Amino acid sequence: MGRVTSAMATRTPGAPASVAIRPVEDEANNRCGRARAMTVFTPMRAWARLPIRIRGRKLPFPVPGRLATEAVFLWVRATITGSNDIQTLSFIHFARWGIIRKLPSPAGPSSRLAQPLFLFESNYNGTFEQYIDAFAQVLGPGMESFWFTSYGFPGPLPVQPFKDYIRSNEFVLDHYYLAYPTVSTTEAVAALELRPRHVAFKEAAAALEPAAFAEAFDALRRPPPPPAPPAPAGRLDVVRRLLHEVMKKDPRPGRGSRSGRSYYFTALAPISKGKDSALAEALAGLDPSPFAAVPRVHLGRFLVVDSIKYDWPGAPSERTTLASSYLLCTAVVTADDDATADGLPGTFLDELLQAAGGVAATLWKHCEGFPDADREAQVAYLEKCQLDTVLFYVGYPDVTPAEVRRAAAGRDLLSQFAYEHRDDPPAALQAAYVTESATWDL
Amino acid sequence: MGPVSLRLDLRDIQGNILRGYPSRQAAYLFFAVPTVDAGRALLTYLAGVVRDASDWGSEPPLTAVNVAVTFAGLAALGVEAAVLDALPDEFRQPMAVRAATMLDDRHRGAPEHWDGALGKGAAHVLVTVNQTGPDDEAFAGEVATVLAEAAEAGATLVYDQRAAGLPSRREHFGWADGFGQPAIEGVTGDPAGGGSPQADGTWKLVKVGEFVHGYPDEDGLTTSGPTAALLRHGTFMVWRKLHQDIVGFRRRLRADALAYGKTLPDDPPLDPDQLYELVAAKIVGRWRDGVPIEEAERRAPGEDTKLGDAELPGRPDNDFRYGAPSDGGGDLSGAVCPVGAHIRRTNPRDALGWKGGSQMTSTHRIVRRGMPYGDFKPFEEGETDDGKDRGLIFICFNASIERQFEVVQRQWCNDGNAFALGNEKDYLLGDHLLDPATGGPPSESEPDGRLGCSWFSVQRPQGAPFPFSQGPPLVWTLGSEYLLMPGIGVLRQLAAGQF
Repeated sequence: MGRVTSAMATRTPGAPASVAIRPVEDEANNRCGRARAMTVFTPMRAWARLPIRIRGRKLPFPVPGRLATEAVFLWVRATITGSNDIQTLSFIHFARWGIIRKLPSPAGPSSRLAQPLFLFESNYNGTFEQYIDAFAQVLGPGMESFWFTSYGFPGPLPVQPFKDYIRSNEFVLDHYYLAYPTVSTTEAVAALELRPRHVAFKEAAAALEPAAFAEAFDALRRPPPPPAPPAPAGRLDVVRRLLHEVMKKDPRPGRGSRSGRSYYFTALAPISKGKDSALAEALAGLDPSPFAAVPRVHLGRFLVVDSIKYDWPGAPSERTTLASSYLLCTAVVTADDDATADGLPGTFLDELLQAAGGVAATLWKHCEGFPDADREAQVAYLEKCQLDTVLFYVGYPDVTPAEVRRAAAGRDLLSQFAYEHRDDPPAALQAAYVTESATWDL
Repeated sequence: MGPVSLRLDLRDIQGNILRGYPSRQAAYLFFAVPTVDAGRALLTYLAGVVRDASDWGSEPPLTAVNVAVTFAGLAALGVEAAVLDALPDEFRQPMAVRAATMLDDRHRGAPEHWDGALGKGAAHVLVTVNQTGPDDEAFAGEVATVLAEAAEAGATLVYDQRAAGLPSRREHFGWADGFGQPAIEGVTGDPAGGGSPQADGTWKLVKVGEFVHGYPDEDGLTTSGPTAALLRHGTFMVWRKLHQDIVGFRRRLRADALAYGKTLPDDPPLDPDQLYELVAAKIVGRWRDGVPIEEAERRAPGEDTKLGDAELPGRPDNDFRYGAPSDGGGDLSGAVCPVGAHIRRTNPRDALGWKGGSQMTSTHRIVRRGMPYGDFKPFEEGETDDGKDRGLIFICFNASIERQFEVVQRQWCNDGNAFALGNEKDYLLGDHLLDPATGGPPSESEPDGRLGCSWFSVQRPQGAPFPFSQGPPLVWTLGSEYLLMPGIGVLRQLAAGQF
């Protein structure tokens, strides 16, 4: 859905009144500060040809689409190491891949899907153009293996047909919240790296000789050498991890949505007949965001999905007609320090439903069968609406939103201080640092 | 022209796109066409006088007239909805909306402060008249003729901007400008420096389809679909009137030179003027005479890099890379040319290289054809404020405004993320969110309460980067339009109502 602005504003009295021009879709809701959201649903083929050649030949037979994709992601999860090509791109906060086999139906029968849907969500810095270029160039072969079972996927290169494909399957969000909208991924990573060094430096600062202080201050501000690329996972390790992936007992639904302390909550709830526009209106007026009142939320999104898009070359002839619209809610949340369970961080839904005077609950009240007042039942309803995840990428796992914000603020303070005292001799620099940093809460 | 691998239909492509005019001055005349008939009458006249891209031979023309049309203009000319609907969104979106959301035109540069009719959907047709010969009167005569013919056709002049070249190809901040143009297939002979750097150390010409529709681009694709006929041999043109705060710039440069000087070793000693010029070169990545700092880390004592009244000695050598191993390890760290220097942001060459090549940069190139407006403030006048409006009429040509110009402007100049520079911005162009009135800390913060960045990292061979200052914007927008500069055949078809 998403709001739309009119291109008719460009029309002057002289322009012929008969020309009805397609309005430009306003993407403002896909942006939050320096971050941009991408949400793409693509229908998956029942049978697909592998994109690889074995001894110069393509396999003579097609492979089952969904199973092949699940196998690809299983392999990725088992072999992925600390640093990888996604990290090379360095501008992705969070990304998630999921396969929807059945639409959630917490209350009664659900729409039948003509094909399983592949859902890709990303949250990144920069523009669509730059993102897709980089993605296609750097992750080209990987993308081929992720999307080859999707109808109409033209391959990552050349880039333009791929961009057109993404654009025609992309949705504009109805609500987008990021806990630190002006902190880019690279800044978050750099600030989190700096923080412990800075804390230690601050402790020691007053006791140093001025010359030693100046040297240590310079070292503190010097970007650390890039970490050595980790060794690829060994064969035994891969086998062990594959076994672990196959054997692990994930809570359902929502399995696979945990990465370190981060959880990627995704729920798809059917909207009651005739409530679409009231819900869209409520979402448009959502200010402040209910997510802002839940400290463990890094990111939150709402999207009304009113239909699956098929207006692109290569779309399947058998199409899903949704019996109702759906409300897609996504949130990246941090679990409590001591949490060990693989499932949804226990109190998150409860916190979200209570936040900001219960405004989130009023949104879901537009959904079919959402319990009226019983919060426990509401939580159970949303748990049933959860989607599974096949891969979840976090640019900086294991930290809370507050930690990201505090680290970024601390890095800003240090940079501003360094600028203001850029030509101070060591003793003056030290005196100024000791005085000014006394008020810094690193 | 060097060896040509591709035959371009130069008679159907407008002049100044692929090869710049040796222009002395220019008039940018924006017209509104109140009716379809008035619009077609205006284009009929213009189609007869428009200058194409073919060689001039031995007799350069005295003037050159060119034509571009806004989206509102195409609608006003009666182009059918199916074609209008298929044009790129950035071109279709009202300029004021686009500028505020995608170009960061804020504060004094916000669209509500723009000059006259610019960016308000009122301008339909832009006629540019360039003086390409020595005769000032011929230029004045050509402008008068265009104005008279447009009036005759029923068009209304809604904005009139004049610009004139400064000595030594200078722009107002004092740099000889315009050397960083892409080396284009079928146009430029030698790809070195202007083309796309390849991982094996060679250079490749940039595909002409990146700048003119109807030819293959870097992806090997040619424009197709419902807009292909309208866009054939045309290009998208970005027109921006940018005010430059010369006094603010000189003050900031002096403060940075003073501070930076204290941190430099005394060997060899730099006099204040040399120091000032060194800081200038660090900010832009070129000395003021256009020589890249990568090619000359220091200049000889007494060498007049500022040019003063001297003529430009010639085109500087532009054949360099940031990561070139042949330069002894290259300069990826930015110790010679800072990572955030202006020319490194606007054309990162191999600096964003994925595996040493230009995959991340070759589809984000633009052809620039700007020209300054206003009098040059002589260097001797220093920092006294004369209150005059001066700046640059920024013009660029590209096949996709969103993929090319907007990426350079917004992601590369007005953000540091692509270069791992956090929220640092371009020293000259960046919108720094500081209080424009006081130059002090920001009166408004970013949405999450975070302060705007107010430093510019100058990397050094040893030690942490030295921070140059960034204050309120030194450049702000006074008006902007996105236009289509159509092929000449298409111009005739538009005049005949064939779209």
